[in-house]
Amino acid sequence: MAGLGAAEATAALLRSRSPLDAAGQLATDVGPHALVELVVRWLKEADKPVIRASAAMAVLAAGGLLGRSPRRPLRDLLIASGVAGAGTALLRRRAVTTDGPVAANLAAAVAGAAGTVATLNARRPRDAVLTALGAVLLLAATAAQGRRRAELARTGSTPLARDPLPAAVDGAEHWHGVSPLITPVDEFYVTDVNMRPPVVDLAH
Amino acid sequence: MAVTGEVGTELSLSYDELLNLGLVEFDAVLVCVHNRLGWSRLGNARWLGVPLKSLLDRAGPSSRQANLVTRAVDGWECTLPLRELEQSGGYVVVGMKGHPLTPAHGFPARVFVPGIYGQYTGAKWLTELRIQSAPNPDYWLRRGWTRGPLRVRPLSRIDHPADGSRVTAGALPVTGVAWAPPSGVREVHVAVDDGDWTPAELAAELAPTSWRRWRHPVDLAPGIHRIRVRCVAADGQVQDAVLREPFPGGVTGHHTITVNTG
Repeated sequence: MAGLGAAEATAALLRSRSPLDAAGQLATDVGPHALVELVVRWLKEADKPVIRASAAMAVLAAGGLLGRSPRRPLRDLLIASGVAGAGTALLRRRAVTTDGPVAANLAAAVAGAAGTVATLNARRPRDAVLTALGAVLLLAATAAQGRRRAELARTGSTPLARDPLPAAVDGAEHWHGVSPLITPVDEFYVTDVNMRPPVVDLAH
Repeated sequence: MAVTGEVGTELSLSYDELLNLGLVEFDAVLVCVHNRLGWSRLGNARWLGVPLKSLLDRAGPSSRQANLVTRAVDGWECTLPLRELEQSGGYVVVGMKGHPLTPAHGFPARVFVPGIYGQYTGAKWLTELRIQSAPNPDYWLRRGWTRGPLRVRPLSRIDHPADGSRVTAGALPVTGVAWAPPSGVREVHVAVDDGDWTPAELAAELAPTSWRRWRHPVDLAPGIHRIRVRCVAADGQVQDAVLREPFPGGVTGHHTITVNTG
């Protein structure tokens, strides 16, 4: 939990990509086809939050298993280095300009590895404090990433057509229970493979 | 956004330059290939965009037999044969319903060819239009889906009443939508239980690429009833009755609901 919180908080602070999003993206991109189709079918629009939550659970489970094994400093160092390297590669995968430079991704991955190793090697009650701190950081980072995405999502002025079409009417405006002729934008389906839609900054 | 590859002149356009190329409005239904019978993974919108033809003509593709690879900012790619675009048109879309695209819908720009399923129609968050002769390892192709472009099959949906609902016996208005882009919907038929197909009333057609609303009054005796719907496209294609899963070529079958007047 401390590692996860540290990685997510560092990513949010440096305006880098969320490690959980990157892990979920990898699972979506390379997961077995049948499983992906099953997720699309059964979870519908809830698929992304469930995938993110599953990625978090997998990380926590791996950390829990590691915590049960005897401490070996050299092995822990190798694991930390592996986590940092793999984490950086993961964060660069399918990244966009607004997902931060490689240094920010590396910092987030290293923070995650450091948080994990620090908790593994801490005795009670310090490990519990670190775990609680990680949970707080995770929540704060999630909120910060959401705020940043909302800021970036503000688009510019409304583009105009050269020759606008006449108003969209078909004479069925009062038919009972029928779908609107033009689907409201906020009800229009969104299905894609991105854990979160990329936010394109026109300034870059 | 850049136009690259096997072209006479490579182009690089800012968002403002793209908007100044001359935007046109068009009405069309966008359908997800994962949409199932009765689902809402489709929507009808008034889109705003630049015709792909005018954009590509500026760059001058070296061959009409080549492909257009559309690339998203995160590297996602999708291929459309240029000859398909000559038949179906296609746009670099920048707006929906009078507003810029939202990030979820692909801001700043996405490619949309009416009549092609969503995952085959082009990239959202568009960063590159690339002309190339060689086959491209598209995202969905690597995931086992059919090589595109996959055309939207004629399909219809019952909006009202809801499946499984309890209704009053007697006259009941049944309403819904049907779509068959790019040719349009010519007829919609409704059948109750094992009865014959009877034609429904169609609302005016906004555009052949748009969905078309329909209604049909039915008279139900007390009991449990099945109501089915099908459509016929303007090109004569009748909605396929065989029930198929969305993978790998799009769903087929008749949307059927059950209502209880007991």
